[in-house]
Amino acid sequence: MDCCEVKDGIHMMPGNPDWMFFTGIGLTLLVSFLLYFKKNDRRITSRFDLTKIRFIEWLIKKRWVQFAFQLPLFLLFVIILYAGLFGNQLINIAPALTWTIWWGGLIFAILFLGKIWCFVCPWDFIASLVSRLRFWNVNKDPISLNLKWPKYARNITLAIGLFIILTWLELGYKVTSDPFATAIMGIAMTLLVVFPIFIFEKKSFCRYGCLVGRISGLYANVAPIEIRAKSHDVCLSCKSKDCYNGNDNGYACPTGLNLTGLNENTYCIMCTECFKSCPKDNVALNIRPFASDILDYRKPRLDEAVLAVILLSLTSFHGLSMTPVWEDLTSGGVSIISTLNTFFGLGSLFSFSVGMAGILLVPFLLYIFLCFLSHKIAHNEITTKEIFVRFSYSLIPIALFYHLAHNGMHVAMEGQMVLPLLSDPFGFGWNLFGTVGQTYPMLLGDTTVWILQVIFVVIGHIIGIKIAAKA
Amino acid sequence: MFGKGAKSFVAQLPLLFAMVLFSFISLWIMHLDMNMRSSLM
Ligand code: SF4
Repeated sequence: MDCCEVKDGIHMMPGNPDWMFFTGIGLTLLVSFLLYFKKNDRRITSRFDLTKIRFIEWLIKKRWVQFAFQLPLFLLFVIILYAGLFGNQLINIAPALTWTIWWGGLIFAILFLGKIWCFVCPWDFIASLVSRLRFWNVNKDPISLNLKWPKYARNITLAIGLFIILTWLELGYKVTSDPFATAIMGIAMTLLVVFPIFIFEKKSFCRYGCLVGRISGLYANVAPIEIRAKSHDVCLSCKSKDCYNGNDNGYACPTGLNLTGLNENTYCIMCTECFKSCPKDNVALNIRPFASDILDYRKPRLDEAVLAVILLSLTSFHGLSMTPVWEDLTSGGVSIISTLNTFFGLGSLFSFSVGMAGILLVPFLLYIFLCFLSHKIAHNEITTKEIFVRFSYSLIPIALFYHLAHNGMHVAMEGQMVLPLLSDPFGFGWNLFGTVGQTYPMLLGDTTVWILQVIFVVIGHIIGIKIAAKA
Repeated sequence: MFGKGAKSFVAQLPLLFAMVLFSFISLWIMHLDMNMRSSLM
């Protein structure tokens, strides 16, 4: 790789070569004009219900299965906490496992498996265990005040706020390279999930407040997997609504969904409770074409639209903050941070915060302005707000595929560095698997990464254009 | 949403511009050099 070690464990990776950059731009322009004005409503709508496979149906209905998947993730989480709190702060597996493997790989898991993270989530594991006091059996009287989530907060504003705070801590406060801070964030997230379960009904925090759940919820509308009613007629004729209310076999849907009206993946946390509670066996785990929900989003919402625009800004910001345009770590040249430092003279963290606020606001205001322009030109009764909400869903695949391109680079180029740490996760001088001191090649070479990155961006753009053309 | 005809075509152009711009920015960021960590320790 054409790069050189410079200082403090940072090296400069060259960006995509010019020809790839211009090819990407050319393809983006080409597909925009080919697809946008070619209204084509023909879509593959076929589905295959995985529960037709007897083994999968059997597995999905067993109550212990989720426990069996969550337990290893919980143990891994405990290892991360222990490493961060009590391990050597220089040689430590906590940041690598959390930020490179989990956070990096999470987006790929969503692309193919939708909300699978929620199914294995260790925070949910802890919260469920302490309130239900059962490993997997149904407890109809869990410890909780069962209050309703406040009406004014029945939106995803809390999740959006937490996402902005996480990004600030991650990039501004550099939590990603700090084992102790990583562990503290893990504990904070645990408390954020556990406290509400004692106060509010079902899993209200998962529905309204969890930043991981809400980001993956929007992205999961692109995934080729869904949980849906097999027959809407059967649902409509059902009086007991066991999926919504729960019964002896399964808990009420933790995010308050009713299968009758379930058309999007956004709030389904794939807990599989409805498979267990439905007395009519009317729940399907479907494999479907990619982007099925988002091409035909039935209930667009303002809070989701805001998250879509913020996702786009902050995912791009992740990339930008690693470039010398943002901060020149190697030669100390002019950058956004150095300019803000000179202007305000209040230190790097302040400059970072101002810069981040700007990067959040500028795309937001620009998008509002362009929606306003559309509204003015159209000169009909559609408001700027309606355009803002409707079209924001076309930004989700652009954000998702850029996120994949960015995180894929981290996993491909840094993932192998975890191997030596597996032998000495706490920095205690162990060599459990003999990998300490070894160097391993990157999972993919830089040219492959570049090509994949451009392909990802173009795919995201194509899906985005198709959604916009249908809006 | 915008109906049909020349006016609806023009009305959609700002939104098309937004999408192209955001994808361009993604490509531009990937075109820039990146500070990568050489070690996760
Ligand atoms: S009960 Fe069913 S619909 Fe509700 S979150 Fe769980 S899997 Fe999704």
